[in-house]
Amino acid sequence: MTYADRLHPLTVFVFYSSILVLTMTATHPAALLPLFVSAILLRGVQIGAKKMLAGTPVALLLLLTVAAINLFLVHRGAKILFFLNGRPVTLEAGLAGLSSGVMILTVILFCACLARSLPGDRMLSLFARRLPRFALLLRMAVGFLPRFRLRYREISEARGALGVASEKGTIRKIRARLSDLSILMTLMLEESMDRADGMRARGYGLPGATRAATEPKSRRDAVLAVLLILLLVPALYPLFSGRGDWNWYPLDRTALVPDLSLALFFAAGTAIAVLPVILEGKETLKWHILRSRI
Amino acid sequence: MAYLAVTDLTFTYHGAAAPALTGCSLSVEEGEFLLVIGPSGCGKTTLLRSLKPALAPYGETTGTVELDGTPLDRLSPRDAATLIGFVGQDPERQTVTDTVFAEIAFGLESTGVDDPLIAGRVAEAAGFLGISHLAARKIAELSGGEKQLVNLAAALALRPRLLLLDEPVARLDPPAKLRFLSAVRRINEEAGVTVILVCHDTEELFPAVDRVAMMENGSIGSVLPPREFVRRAENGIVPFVPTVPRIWLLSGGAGEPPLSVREGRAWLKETLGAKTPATVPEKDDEPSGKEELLSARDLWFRYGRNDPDVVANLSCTLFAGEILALLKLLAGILRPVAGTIRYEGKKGFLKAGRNAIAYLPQDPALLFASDTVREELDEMTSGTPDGAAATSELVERLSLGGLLDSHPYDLSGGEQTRLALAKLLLLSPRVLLLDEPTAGLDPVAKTELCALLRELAKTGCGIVVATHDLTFASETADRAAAFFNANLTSPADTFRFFSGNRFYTTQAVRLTRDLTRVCLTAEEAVAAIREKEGGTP
Repeated sequence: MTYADRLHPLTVFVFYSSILVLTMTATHPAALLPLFVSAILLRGVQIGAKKMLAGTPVALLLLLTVAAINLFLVHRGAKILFFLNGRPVTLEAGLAGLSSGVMILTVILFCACLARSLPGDRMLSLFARRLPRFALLLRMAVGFLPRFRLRYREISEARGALGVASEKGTIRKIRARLSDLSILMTLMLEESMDRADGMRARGYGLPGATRAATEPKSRRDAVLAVLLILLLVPALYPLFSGRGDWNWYPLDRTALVPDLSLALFFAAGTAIAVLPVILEGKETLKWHILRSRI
Repeated sequence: MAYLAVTDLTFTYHGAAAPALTGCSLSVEEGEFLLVIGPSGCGKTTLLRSLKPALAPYGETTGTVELDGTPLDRLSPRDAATLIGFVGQDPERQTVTDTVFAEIAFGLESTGVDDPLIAGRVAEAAGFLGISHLAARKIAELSGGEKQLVNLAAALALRPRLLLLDEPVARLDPPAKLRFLSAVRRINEEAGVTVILVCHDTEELFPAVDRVAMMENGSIGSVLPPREFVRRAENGIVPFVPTVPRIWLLSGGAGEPPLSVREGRAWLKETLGAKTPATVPEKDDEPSGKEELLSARDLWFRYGRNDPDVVANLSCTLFAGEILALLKLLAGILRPVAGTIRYEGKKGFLKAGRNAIAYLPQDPALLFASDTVREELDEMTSGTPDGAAATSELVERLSLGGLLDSHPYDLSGGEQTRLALAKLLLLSPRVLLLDEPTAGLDPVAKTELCALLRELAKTGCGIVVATHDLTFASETADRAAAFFNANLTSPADTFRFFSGNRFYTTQAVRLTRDLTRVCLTAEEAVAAIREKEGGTP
């Protein structure tokens, strides 16, 4: 049980979308770094330290690859580290690459968190109201895939036992596979006719169809929505005013630490990302305490 | 005025020469439970579908169908969808969506039930059928029996007053079958829903239903209460009568026909008097002196590394010319994780192909790749010298002659099984593995299959059947064993297996235990009863 399970999917979706927008537009290191840290913490709360550690090498590899690509392709910047094939390799290019890598990693982490907080079927229920036909189609496709796979296995096993597949020669084998597929298609067409009957039998196609909303809204959703709006206005201010823009070329060390007003705007953005960490962390802690009391 | 009135209904499929239904008349009272039986292809499904406008087959119709005084074609589409519920044979083919909740809600959404009410109606239907705990599950993860209950709940959520069930348990195992049928009984008894059920498994149903209708060649014969039905049963109908009343009928019983084992035992005791101590003749477990055809030693199997064992430490032997009934056996194509299989004394994995091992899957349609029966058979003989002769001999033996130009999918269940068997037999296999060959077959087709398998065994072919059909197993097999807990338990010759069991055995054994000598089949029981009646003055 996670905190997000008790929220309406729309709340969860809007929250994560806001965080993703903030991350993708954050160019200032002082804005990006807190978001990166919250992403690590949130994912850590979700999957535990052990799995986080297991994923670290892949994450580091990604980070260093992005940084290295930028380092060797971009030659702008004042602080020259060394020359490669007569072209300058600069500190700024390295740092900018590192910053892009951190941004990409943060986005990936938050997307992974979103996928866990909002599994496919809950995500789907978001669209069900707006796009009922699309949602039904998607549900049917999701229900269809495992059947398709199972049927194919059954057919190739049964035909294999018939000795059809064990024939020698590549062309004969390909032909056997193709006839397996043709059986699969025929069977699936047969089945879909039955399925269409089942749908019509239950009134599909009548005018005035409704959609069941399985997701209840609670007070929690309202409180979080208000909080999100209150934080989102200052958090987006640096983006729209241009004050949060950051340029790595050339590196301006003094601008690395933002002034107080900019820091407050960044803090609002950070707060949006930290909120899920606190809520999910509290939930995990609660279960730990409950268990230790048994 | 009857609730459902079918008057002189005649129906011809589009393009067909002969009508599928001829002059059918039927009246069903509100709250009645009607069982429809008859050989496959006699028009049961066509009749049932004609009773639901959305499923009505395409063709020429004369005659009328009235529901509660309203002709069906004047029923509004919404009423037709909600008032008449329908559940078909194949649990896989009726589900539309991915989760149980969405599936049960589907009909409610389609018929425009308001959103806040849907969850309650879904909960009501699922709760009544005892599947509330499945609500959040994915349909693909459910067993066949659970899927069929979900289909029933989906129909029930619409609050039908008439429930049409077309062989709903033909593909389910016995426990799932009983669960489904008892759910249908409850819907009928506790909610007063009128039920029309087409079903071949009459054993459990005869004591439960109000009336039984017999269909033959597109027309409805007698529609009678079960006891009356048994009493008036004539030759052609007798195979469709369940075991207990059939024994009563064939041994010329008097008084009220018994429908259940309990009633049957009471009748037998009264007729035959004193108890006979059970004498089970001693027989060897493993027939000696026969050629060992296929043997497995210490087999282990699981589907994935972390999955549970499906087969654990299993050993068995198949002798030439015998039929071994294995209940739920894993056979054929998969390689064991550990253990050895010996085929004709030689070590090696099961190898499919000519003169070796053939496997008939539960759904014979999996084997059909061509457009006509003829092409299906030719596929197997291409490249063999005297294929044509072998084919025409098999066609003769399996009476496929009239079907050669039909599409394999247009055949009935029994015909499909015969065609699949013909394909396998063209490989002249030494070992034949059959997975649930009797699913969906009518009693006559079952008897034919039984005779065919016995004949094959005589030619030296070894046959392994995995089946839930105990009556079929008792009539067909030489030896039987139960598959339980990933292994075979109590393998014995068929007689010892079934006479030794008290519950997991045939109706005839349950009926005659301790009252006559032990009888596995209805025919033996009739003979035993006659013998004893003749013996006592």
